[in-house]
Amino acid sequence: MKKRVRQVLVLFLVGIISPFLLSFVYRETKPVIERTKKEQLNKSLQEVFPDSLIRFETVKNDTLWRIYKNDSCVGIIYRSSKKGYTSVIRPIVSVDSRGKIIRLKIQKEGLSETPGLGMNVTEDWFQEQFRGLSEDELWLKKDREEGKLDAITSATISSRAVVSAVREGLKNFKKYIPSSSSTHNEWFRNALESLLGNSRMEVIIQGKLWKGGDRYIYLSQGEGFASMIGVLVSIRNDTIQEVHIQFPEEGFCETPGYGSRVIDEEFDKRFKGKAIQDIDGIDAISGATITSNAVKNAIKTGYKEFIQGRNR
Amino acid sequence: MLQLTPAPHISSGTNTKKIMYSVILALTPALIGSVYFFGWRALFLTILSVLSAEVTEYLFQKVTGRESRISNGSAVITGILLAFNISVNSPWWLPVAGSIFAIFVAKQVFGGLGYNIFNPALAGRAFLMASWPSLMTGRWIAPNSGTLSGLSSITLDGVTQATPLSLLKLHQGESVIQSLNSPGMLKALFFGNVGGCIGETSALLLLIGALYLFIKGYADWRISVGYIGSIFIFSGILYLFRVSPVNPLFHILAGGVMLGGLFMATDLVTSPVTRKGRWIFGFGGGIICVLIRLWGGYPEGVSYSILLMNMFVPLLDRMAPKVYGGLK
Amino acid sequence: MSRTFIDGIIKNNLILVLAIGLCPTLAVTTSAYNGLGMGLAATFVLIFSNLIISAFRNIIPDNLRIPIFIVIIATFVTVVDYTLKAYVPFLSVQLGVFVPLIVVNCGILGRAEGFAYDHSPGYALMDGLGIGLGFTIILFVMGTIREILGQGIWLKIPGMFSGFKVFGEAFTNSSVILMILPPGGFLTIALLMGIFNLFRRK
Repeated sequence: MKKRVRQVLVLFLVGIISPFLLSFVYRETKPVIERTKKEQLNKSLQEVFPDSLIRFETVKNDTLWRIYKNDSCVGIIYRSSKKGYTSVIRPIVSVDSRGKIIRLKIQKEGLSETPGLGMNVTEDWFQEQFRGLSEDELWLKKDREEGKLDAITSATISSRAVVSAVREGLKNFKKYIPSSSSTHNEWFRNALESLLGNSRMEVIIQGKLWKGGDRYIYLSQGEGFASMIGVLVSIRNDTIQEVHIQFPEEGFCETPGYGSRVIDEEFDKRFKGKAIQDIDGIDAISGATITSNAVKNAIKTGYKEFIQGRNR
Repeated sequence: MLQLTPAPHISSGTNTKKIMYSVILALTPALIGSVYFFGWRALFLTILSVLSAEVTEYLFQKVTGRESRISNGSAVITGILLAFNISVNSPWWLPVAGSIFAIFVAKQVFGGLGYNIFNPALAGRAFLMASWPSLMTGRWIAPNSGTLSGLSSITLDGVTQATPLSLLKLHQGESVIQSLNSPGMLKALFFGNVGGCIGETSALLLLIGALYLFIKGYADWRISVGYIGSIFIFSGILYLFRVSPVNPLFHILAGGVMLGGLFMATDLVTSPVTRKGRWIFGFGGGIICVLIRLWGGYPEGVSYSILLMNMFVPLLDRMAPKVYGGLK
Repeated sequence: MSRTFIDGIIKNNLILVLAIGLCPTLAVTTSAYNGLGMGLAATFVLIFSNLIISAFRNIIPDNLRIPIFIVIIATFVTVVDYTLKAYVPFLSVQLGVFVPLIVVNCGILGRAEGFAYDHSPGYALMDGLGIGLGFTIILFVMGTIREILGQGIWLKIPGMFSGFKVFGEAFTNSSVILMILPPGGFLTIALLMGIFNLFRRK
């Protein structure tokens, strides 16, 4: 009897002391664990949309976020998952306001595809291919004709899993992308007014060409890296007076940190006083050549239309 | 008739040597064929593989103070078979690494010739498959028949193409399947004018060599017939039921079925000693091979099917030979 | 007492001699950092469980000792688990389920049952230290061999350090992937046991 009581007592004590110790450890570590989790999440969000000026807003916990820049939504980030060859692949994908992929990231940690084959989905060249693709193009070249993606040699299953995870995620979540067309249709209004200054505005072609004093102002677009870039150009005697490149809050959505550097006063100034034929000689912003060229092309094509419009 | 002896006996004396040199002779047509199809580099890689196998064997026996047996030619066979299992545009160190693994880990660590559980060349191939999968599965070169291209860069830059088996695995389009089933494809597979490993492509040349071994009695036709036959029958049944999209002839001619079934499954050390055991050995391997090809992750299943059956050999040897066999 | 410590490292080496606790050994030693992390986590648990069990060995009833051992070990394992999750999250992700599984690591229960339960706390502490160190060294060595051969780098610390390219760029690009796969673990452990026995026999 005495032995019984002792046994019960010892077990009881162990049962009291150990949870007590654990609850203490739990209380101490829990906030730290949560903080590190949050930091990691933020880090992976930043990785797919590297811009310090943005803010993320959670739409669905752990799967969907909206990206805000200057209080306007410029895209979404989502996480989707698909069974790969030996593990579940969970890419994090950022999408611009036109529904095109900006960047994707597949975390190496916790992924256990075959090293040397399926594991190669974490390689840069594979993930880079997704840039700028829309939903229809998110197929492996060998699966669909409209596909634009190369599979990793001998790791078709893993590659296919990534591609369909990205595609299905985009299909599910694209309704959360703010429709840029409605809000930014008249994005140029403010810029137009500031370009006109005090002179009276005269519309020559609605939404395309204006006249103010001795200057003409035309609107044009060029295809950039991830979005269409709108440009307003004021011109006098075939010499560029001023250039306004669409701001992010006006719908500009180029690669943060690279293409976005084009919207910079310093770049605008490079055009000042230049004749149209000299535009090609203007230096591009280093690291944002495509976006810079998009702006130049927009100015040139816009100029052709302007000549036709003026002579009418 | 065949003189069948249990495994430990074959490591003794001149008999082993004679068998081994006959096997090397039997592999020669396929080797010549590989030079014809893929150029001199095929021969270069084979020699490199053989040399590293021999050197590994010599060094191991020297270091561990065993009697040197490198002249019996078994390491040469391992070297040739291993080289036959890689693509011609492999880097030079690939057969070297494979041969070292085959001889050191798969053969000598187990006690040398006669004691190894797995066929060394296949173990070497499995090692290469796991270690450099992209080199082993992704870079097939189209045969360049008769042009005898040079040793290195010429073939390395050659046109890569998918092997018929990887086509089967990746593209299930109607036109692809039709071309795989066409008589032209079967003819190419039979003569060896397709992409693939160095020594596996020509069924004809491998058959010539194997026939010589069967006649001399150095390899048992039961294993080969069991293996290739079961692949034919099993894939034939699946073809009839429209599970397998390609016909059984394609299955036995494509990939490494001929090389594996004729030369690697019949390895005297790693195959059963009883007749019944040999039938089961061959048959089981064939079924596993088809299963891997149709439902597995790899396009080719020959090497793993034989390795898996190698594991059953001790069990098959234990099956009472009294009831069935001429062996006591 | 120092004898107990030395014995713990060599004569009673958990992996090479006793061959217990092999499951995490094979599973997590794909890199030197993982091996080190796992070794240290197990050492922590080993020291404290040994110490506590030895200190209370006179009041722990004989027929209830195993459940009590397990509760004590589980407590320390949970402490380690939370600590890793909070302060080294990358390591925690890499070790994954093998940290909670230290609870049923037969090495730790084996030392509690086989040593701590009938030795004084001082000896139990020394045994815990020695065994833990021996375990950690082997895990680190295995991790080193497998990481260098399998990935061509050494001492990669996820999120902090990308590792030394021991044999140069060319080797890193075509490393022996087999070594970081499960067969690589078996090959390495067999190799280490063989070498160890070769020297012990002499």
